[in-house]
Amino acid sequence: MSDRTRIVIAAAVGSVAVFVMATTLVHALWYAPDDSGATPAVVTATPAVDSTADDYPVRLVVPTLAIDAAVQRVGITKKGSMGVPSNFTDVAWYRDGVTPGQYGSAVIDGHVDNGLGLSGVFKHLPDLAVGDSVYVVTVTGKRLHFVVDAVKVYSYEDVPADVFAQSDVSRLNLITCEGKWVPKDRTYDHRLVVFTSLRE
Amino acid sequence: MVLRKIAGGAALAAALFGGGAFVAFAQTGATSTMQVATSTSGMGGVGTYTTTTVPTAPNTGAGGDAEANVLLIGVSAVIAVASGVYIARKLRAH
Repeated sequence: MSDRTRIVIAAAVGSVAVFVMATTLVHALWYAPDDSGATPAVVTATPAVDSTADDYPVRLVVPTLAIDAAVQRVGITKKGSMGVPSNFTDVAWYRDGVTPGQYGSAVIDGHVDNGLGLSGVFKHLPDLAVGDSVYVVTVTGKRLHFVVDAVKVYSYEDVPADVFAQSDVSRLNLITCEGKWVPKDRTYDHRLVVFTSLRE
Repeated sequence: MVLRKIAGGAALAAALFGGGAFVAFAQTGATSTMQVATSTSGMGGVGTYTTTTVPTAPNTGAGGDAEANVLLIGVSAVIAVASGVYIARKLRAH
């Protein structure tokens, strides 16, 4: 094999290595992968007062955690789970449910970490305590004030439908991953949910 | 001449890195979603109820892949550097 051929081969190998390194780095730091989940359950809910359905959230602010994040809008993935933000610094609101400020349970999720194990936007969500304030800024500039009522942890396969269920109270539930990594399902084994309610 | 080769190699590496990053970013589009909300009438004319599909819990973690990602990045970096050093030596020998 001539030197020229060896150089060409080495260049090709090096090129592939650089390409792989770049894509892996970008995916780990910026790209939030989609998840898998069970078949969604159908819930018959009480009617919601619908006067602000178009006043969707654009920012989530949690002063005690120094969170001031943009809010993406997500639906249900092909596998039936709530969508997630496409990066690790934004949060995501479930747009097919309740709008924050309406009666019922609006839900916002965010990543706990990224592909390199570095902190995601909701890394410190477990530090929230009852009485802490959470604010949502809507597209019309309205600022909604929610207060934490409870912080609960569930097994990832047993998160109750009540987290998304409508009620006669205006709620905002924040959700993220917790616990240990489950390699076969590529997810953490628990979900942490912060339940808040609207303060007038 | 040597500087030109170094500059050329660096430019090529940057182009490859940028190309890989571009491909990776191009895949970071919004999650494919479907809307399944439906509405039904309530029983006995009591009122109108909205039936919505409730999703399962989202997967909001990626840190479990950290070890594999770090390994992949590390190995590919070593291979890239080793290839560059090998090529540089070969070119210098000529």
